[in-house]
Amino acid sequence: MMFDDLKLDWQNEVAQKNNNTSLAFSSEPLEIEANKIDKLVKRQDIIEITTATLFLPVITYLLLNSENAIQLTGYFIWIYVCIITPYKLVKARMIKVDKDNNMKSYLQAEKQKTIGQLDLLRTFVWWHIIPILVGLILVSAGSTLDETGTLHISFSLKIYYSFCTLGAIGVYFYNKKMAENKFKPLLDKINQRLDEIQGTS
Amino acid sequence: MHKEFDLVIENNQGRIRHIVSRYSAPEEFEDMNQEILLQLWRSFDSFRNNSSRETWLYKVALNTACTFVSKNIKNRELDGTLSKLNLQNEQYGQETCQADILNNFMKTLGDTDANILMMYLDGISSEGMAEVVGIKASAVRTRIKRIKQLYEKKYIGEKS
Repeated sequence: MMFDDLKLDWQNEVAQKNNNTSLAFSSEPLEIEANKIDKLVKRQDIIEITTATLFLPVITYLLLNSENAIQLTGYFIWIYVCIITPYKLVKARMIKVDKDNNMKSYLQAEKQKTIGQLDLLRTFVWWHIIPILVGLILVSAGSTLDETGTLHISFSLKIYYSFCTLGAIGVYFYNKKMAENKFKPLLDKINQRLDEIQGTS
Repeated sequence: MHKEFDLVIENNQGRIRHIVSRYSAPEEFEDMNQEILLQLWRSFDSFRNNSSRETWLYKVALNTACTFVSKNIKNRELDGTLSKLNLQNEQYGQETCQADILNNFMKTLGDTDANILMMYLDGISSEGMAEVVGIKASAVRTRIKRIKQLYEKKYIGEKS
């Protein structure tokens, strides 16, 4: 069979599939589904912003009533976490990749989005877990400060700090693994497709 | 807008199903089909007749299919291995049906070349294909020429 014979064969097959599935199509369920997805995304944004906003007045109250500079620093760090976390998450979700772009532009946008998500996951411990942990250590250690400026950190508190640090290390490695397993293959696939389009593979 | 969109889909169901069957495993067919329809609906609002209906449809459908495949990348790797095994078996003279020949030939091509071939067979112009892929029309023509040579070498050259 010659190459151009395939063309006719293909078009017949498409026409046949068209006839086989020529049921009346209704887009109303699609609109409902699209609205449902949009609402879910909006709800997720609202939950993240509200959670952070609810913590802010509590932390601000504690900050204003802090006993010393160590606790004050801890509360400031927590406020930073409350602001930076929803900002980073919502910002990452706001990157829109239009599907009606040409494939090359679409893949380039997808690549940027995936790199952003990969960075977010890789650095999650640095901008979320570690500041929370440092804040926790400063606030709790600050409460043991006496009039002479000496810290009295008990053995149980030290054990608690050790467990929290181990937890943070665990989250770090878990995220690293997630990034490698989930986003790295995705990025490799996008790069492979871009290379194919640009004719470099 | 609903009526206009419904009409576009009704007229292009065969084309969409063909794209889906190229990219999806049988168990993913309906999910991918639904996802493509959803994305077509989402982008229909912004579709301003800048390109032809077919070009717009191919852009959205192929981009959605690629994302769908990438999201299920682990399953796809397994499918890829299995289809390579099937392909090896089929290469031993079992390609009887024309559709099988074409499907197996497409599997040997990269995604971009397979997409170009799909659009070529569907009668899309080089300019239209260039608009979908994002490369020059001359580059599309070169690729088609290369695909043709590959096909002839593989199927016609061997059999003559």
